[in-house]
Formats: sequence, structure tokens, C-alpha cells
Amino acid sequence: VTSTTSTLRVVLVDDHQLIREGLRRAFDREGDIEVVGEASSIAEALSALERLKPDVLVTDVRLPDGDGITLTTQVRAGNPTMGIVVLTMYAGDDQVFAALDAGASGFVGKDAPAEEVVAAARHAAASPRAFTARDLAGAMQRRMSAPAGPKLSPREREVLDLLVDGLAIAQIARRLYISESTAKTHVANIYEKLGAGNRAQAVMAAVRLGLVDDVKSR
Amino acid sequence: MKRRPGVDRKSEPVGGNPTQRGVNPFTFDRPDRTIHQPGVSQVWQIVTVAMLGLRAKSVFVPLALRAGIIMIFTAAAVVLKSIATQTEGSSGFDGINKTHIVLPALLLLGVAALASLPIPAAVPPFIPALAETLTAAVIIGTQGKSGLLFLPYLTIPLFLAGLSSGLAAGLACALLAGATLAATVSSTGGPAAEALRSNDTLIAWLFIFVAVPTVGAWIRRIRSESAPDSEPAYTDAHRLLSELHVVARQLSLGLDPRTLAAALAEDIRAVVPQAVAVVLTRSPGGRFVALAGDEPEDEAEAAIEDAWLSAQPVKREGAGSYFAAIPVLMGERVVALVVVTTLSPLDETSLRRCRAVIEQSGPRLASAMLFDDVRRLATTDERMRLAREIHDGIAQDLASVGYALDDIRRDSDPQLARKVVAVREQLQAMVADLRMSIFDLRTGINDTVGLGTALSEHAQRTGGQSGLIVHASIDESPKRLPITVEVELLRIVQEAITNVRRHANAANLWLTVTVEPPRAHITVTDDGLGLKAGRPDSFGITGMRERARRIGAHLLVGPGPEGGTVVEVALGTDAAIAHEPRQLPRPVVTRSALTDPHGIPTIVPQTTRHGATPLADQEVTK
Repeated sequence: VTSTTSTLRVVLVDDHQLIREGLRRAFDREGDIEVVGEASSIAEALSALERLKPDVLVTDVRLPDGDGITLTTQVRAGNPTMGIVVLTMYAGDDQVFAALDAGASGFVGKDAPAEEVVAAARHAAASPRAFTARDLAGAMQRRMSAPAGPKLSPREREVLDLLVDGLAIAQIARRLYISESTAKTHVANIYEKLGAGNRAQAVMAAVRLGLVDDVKSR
Repeated sequence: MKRRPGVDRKSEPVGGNPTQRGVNPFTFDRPDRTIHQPGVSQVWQIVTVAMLGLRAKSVFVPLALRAGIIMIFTAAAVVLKSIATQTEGSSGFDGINKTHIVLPALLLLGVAALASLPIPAAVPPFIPALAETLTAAVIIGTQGKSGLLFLPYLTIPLFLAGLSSGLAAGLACALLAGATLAATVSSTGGPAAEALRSNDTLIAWLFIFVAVPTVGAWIRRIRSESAPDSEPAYTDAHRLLSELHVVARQLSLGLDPRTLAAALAEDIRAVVPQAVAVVLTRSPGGRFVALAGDEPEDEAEAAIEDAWLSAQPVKREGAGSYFAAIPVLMGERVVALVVVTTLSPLDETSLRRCRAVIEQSGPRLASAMLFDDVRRLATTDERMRLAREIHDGIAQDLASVGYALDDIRRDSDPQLARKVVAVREQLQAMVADLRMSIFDLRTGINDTVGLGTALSEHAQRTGGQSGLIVHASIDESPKRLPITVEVELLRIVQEAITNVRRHANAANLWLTVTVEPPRAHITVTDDGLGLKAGRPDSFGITGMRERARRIGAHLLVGPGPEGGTVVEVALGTDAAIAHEPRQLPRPVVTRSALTDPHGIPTIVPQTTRHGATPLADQEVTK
């Protein structure tokens, strides 16, 4: 529901009154933004959102009766156009990605100046489905470069190569001069690391992850 | 002693005050209290219920017992009296007629009935016993010669006094009973006094009065020794924890599983000189990790698995060597394995000797491992609590002050606004720092996230969020270190990175991690200001040293090649290597291109350490 006037209607959710007061003052200064409601818990927030139908929801992550990420998911499911800004004291890329995954429009740390929260709220109202966060690029980069893929030990790489070649466990064991049970353990560990349930899946995963040379001549 | 029926107990506050009860000397009838205590073993509850069932009936048992004795003596007196009158011989029953026998018997029955009633838990059990003794003594004493027939009745309360309250209370009761008896008999005078005055009788009864409570007290002692305590689980836990507390306080390493495991391996080598012994335990992820010694050959894996599952020693032959995996048992549970590798098969005698050694130190090792785990859990709990406290308290307050400053700035003239901005920036840095502290406190190691991953993620995030360029090089074996070791290493590196972030004013941070259980080697290098006297992170370094010492690692803090600082942790490597910095692996940046968020070619620390600058100017060993 868009408001009839051009003012932006905001609901603040944070269990710390001083935080809400500070943000309300910052929003009030803008002139074209009105804080129409405040809530200090998920329950209050849900009823306020139902009642007030704001343009933007600004929510803390840690709340007494739940977390803002869950609230975001819940709100987003029923309302694809509401702007949602996640505000948090938690650090770490996980929080950024959790907010992104939940369908938030923006993510602001509580160390940032109030203006940043206001800017995020404006952005959220304008493009609720375009996620913005400070250092998002950095976080993405880190996620990409983090040792995300499964890390196989040298021995497991050897076993994997032989698995891809289609050797049976007994053959692998003989080839690598290890006992069959050891080979089985290695294979089980490889499956576990690759999230595979069987040999075919393991081979697929290994090829997809670039763990084996798939153009190897067989 | 009075038995209170089980239903009465419900009025007692549940849980009560176990400590107080534990020291209460009048807690003979303990077992039924356990029904109120949660966590007591099932078996014990069943036993308790069975005993309570008996006891519900046994409200009448004391009465029946007393009444029985009274009846027997009444009947005996009547029979003897008839015999005496018929034979006209002995005059022991002179002055007694049958009706005289009935009166004290009835009075004593009344006493017996009263004494059999349930008494409140708050009353010490010797009080009813004493009351019964004295009342019975008065009745017996005042009823003349026929009363004296019932003297044996006194043995019941006296015995119970000794049984319920110990020797002192029992003897006191006996003394008071004797005095009361003497006073009442002599005041009434007559044949009874004469009968009592006859030496034989007097001595005999004195002896009985002393002997009965003594026997009661003796039985009490035996029963209290053999009877399980009221809350066996808690009592055992308390005793164990007390011991642990003492040991943990006395020796900082006394309960360290790695030290104990190393000692155990040493003991095995003393028994089988040519053997290589490894102490393994199972990590939460199901992998076997070495507590002491090198990981055994892959060939031993089957033996290890079998020994763990069967809780029996398992011998296997490998290529050129022989393995014996012997479980370290704590009760029925396998807590660790000792793998003995030999060049010739281990003979039965040696195996028996090994088992004897292991049996001896098994409980100690198990306790140490348990203690380690308890400490880890407690620490994690406490860190989470701290994180919550900072998050909900000071951090929010500072953040709201920041918003207030933002507000003030908007109202200020440009000159004041500049000052406010400066303060605001400081505050922002403070809040950012608190956010990192909360992050640090919440970061942990678990079954799925190993040390290398945790370290790398932590370095990337902290670095990324504080403007440091992080170059991480992780070489991690799929084998895991014991989780407690991983946690300590993580905390050491966290502290090192925090120091760089806060104090070093560095642009780059190099993290190298090599984990090859049971060894690990980690360096944190920066190109910042380097160590200076009085740098405020000395407290942090002390903490790092303590952590390193706890896991038996070497910690070295020294000037880095780029003018910054190097923090180096070496676990399980030879002390000689740790002392020889030149032989340590360089922080080679293998993944710099990947990890540099700016895509700028990174400065690889040159291997300048062969030169004049020694790596370490400070060094800590175990």
C-alpha cells in the first residue's frame, strides 16, 4: 500500500528505546519521512505492520522474541514491495548474506551514522528488491575466495582419481597399497565432503568443482 | 526409630537442602528422600519404591514388635506366676498377682502405640526414642515388682536411639533411663526396690542398658557405611569435582589429556621398549585424533576401528610392522585407544603388561578428557554470555550516543560540527570494535567447521571490515586436532589478529596455517608498527601465552620481516625447531591473488630472516 502523500512511512523495530529515539530524530529531520510506528519485539512489529502498512521497515536483528532476519523473511513472503532495512550490531559476512537471503532491501551496521540508516531506508523504499550493504562487494569477494569448496587430502585426491576412473574399492586399495577398509574410509570421507550419496554423484561433484581433470583420457 | 510413611514426605519441600541434610547426623532413613531428587538412577528409584512399599506396611511393624514383646512378657509372667504358686518354691514372684501384671502391660502398650506414630521430619529421631525410654522407665519404675517384669521393653527405645542417633545419644538415653528407673523405684520403695538392689540383677541390667544402644549404634555405623548415599549421583559428582578442583588448582597441567597421554605412551615404551605408542581419541566428527605421538599408519585404521567398536584389544599385521590397538576404558566405555606399533608381533606377556599400564592410567586420562570438555563447554557458554552482554548493553548504548551526536551535528554551526564529526568518528570506531569483539566471542569451532576454515573465515572478515588486506594460506589435513586444541589455537589467532587490527596500524596481514595432526603451525604476520615497549596489547599476549601453554604449544612473538610483528604458534613440532626460527616455514602467500579483495598484487614477505634479524626476541615454551 503506497501512501497517498509523498511522505515515506517508516516503522522502527528495536528493543532499545534509545536507538529508536535516535533514529526517529534522524528520520524526523528529513521532513518527507515519518516514523509512523515503533515496536520492541517481533509480535509488536507484526501487529504494527498489519495496522500501519508502512513503506519501510527498519528492524534490529536480535529481538527479545526472535530475530529480525526471520521477521524479514516472514514480511517479505507476504509483501514483495515493502522496503526492509536490517540494522544490526552483529558483525560478520554471515549476517549480510542472511539479510540478503531473507529478502531485505538493505543492511546497516549499528556503528554507522544515522544518515546511513536514512539513506538505506530511502533506497529500500525506491527499490525494495535491490539489496544494498556497505562492503557488500568485499563480502561477496570473500565468500567467493573463501575455501568454500571441499578440501581433499592428497590421499583422497588419489582415491578420487581412481574412483573417477571407475575402479572398484578393492582395486583402489591394491593400487594404493592400503587395506580395503582404509580405502572404504577414504571413499566415505570423499562422499561426505562432496555431499555425494554414491559414486556417480561424487564424480559429478568432483568434475563440477574442478577437482578432477574431466578431459583426462580414459 | 520411627518410620514416617512415604506420603508424609510430600509435604517436605522438594529438593530441600541436600547439603544440610548431608551433614545432619540424624539422617538414618535416607533412601526414601531420593524420590524427590531428579537425576537419580532408575535402578535406585526402583529400590526406593520397593523399600517404601515395605515401609508403608511397616508403620505397624514397630507397634507389632513392641506389642509382641509386651505380650510375651505378660504371658511369661502369668505362666511363671502360676508355676511359682504351684511349686511354692522360689519367691521371685512374691507380691505379684496377675492383675498387677496387666496394668503395666496396658500402659506400656499405650506408650508403644504412641511411639509407633509417624513423627515430623524436623524432629531429630532420638527425641521420640528418649521420650519413649523415659515414659517406659517411669511406668516400669512406678508399677512395683510387676513393673520390673517389663524391664526388657526398655531395650527397644534404647536400641532405636543408638540406631538412629549414634552411640552418644543411645548411652545418654540409657543413663537417663537408669536414673529415672532408680529414682522412681526408690521413691516407691517396697519389694521392687529390693529386687532391683540385688547385685546380680543390677549389674545385669546396667550391662544390658549399655550394650543395647551400643549394638544399635554399631549397626547404624555399618549401615551408613554400606548404605548408598541419599543422592548417589550427586554425591559422586561432588566428590569427583572436588578432587578435580584440587588437582586443577594445584597443577595447571595436572589434568591435561595431552600430558597424560604422552605419559601413558612413555609408560608403554617402558614396558615394550622397541614399540611406538600412540594415544588416540575419537573426535566428535568420528575421526581418530592423536593425543600423543604421531598418527599411526593407515594400515592400523582397521585395527583401530575394530578395537574402538569391540572395546577389546585388536592385533593386526601390516606391511613390515605389527599393530595392537588397545582400548582405554572408563567403565564400559572406550575413551581412547593406545596403538602399539612393533616390528615383531606383540607377545601375550607384553600385551598383558601394556593392558595393565593402560588399565592403571585409563581413569585418569578419561577424567582429564572429561574435564577438558567441561572446561570447553563452560568457556563457550561464558563467551556467549559475554557477547550477549556487550551486544545488549554497552554496544547499544554507544550506538545510541552516536545517533544523538549525529543529531547534534545537524544543529551545530560548521566549526562545532567539525568537532562533533571527530568525536563521532571515534565513537564509530569504538562501536565497530565492539561489533568485532562480539563477533570474536561468538565465533567457535564445531564438529563440521575445522580450524583452518574457522581461522581463514575469521581473518578474512575481521581484516575486510577493518581495512586490512588479508593474505591467508591454509594447508589443512582432513584429520582434525582435538577440538579443545583447535579452540585454543583459534583464540590465539583471534587475539593476534585483534592486536594487529587495534594496535599495529598495518596495511597487510599474512596468515599461514598448516595443520597436520598432531602438529600444527600458524603464523600471523603484519607490516605495521611492530612491537614497542608498553604497547597496550601486552595483556593480550599474556593470554595467548597461557593458551599456548595449556595445549603444550610454543608461542613466539617477534619483529616481522616488513617491520611489523610475527606471532607464531607451533604445536607438536620439536622444541628445537621452535627455538630455531630460521628453520620455520616462511609465510608464503599462495593464495594472495585470490584473497586480496582489491586485486592488487601483494607484497610477499621476503625471506630476509636468514639475515641479521632474528625472528623472535621473545619466546615462550611450555
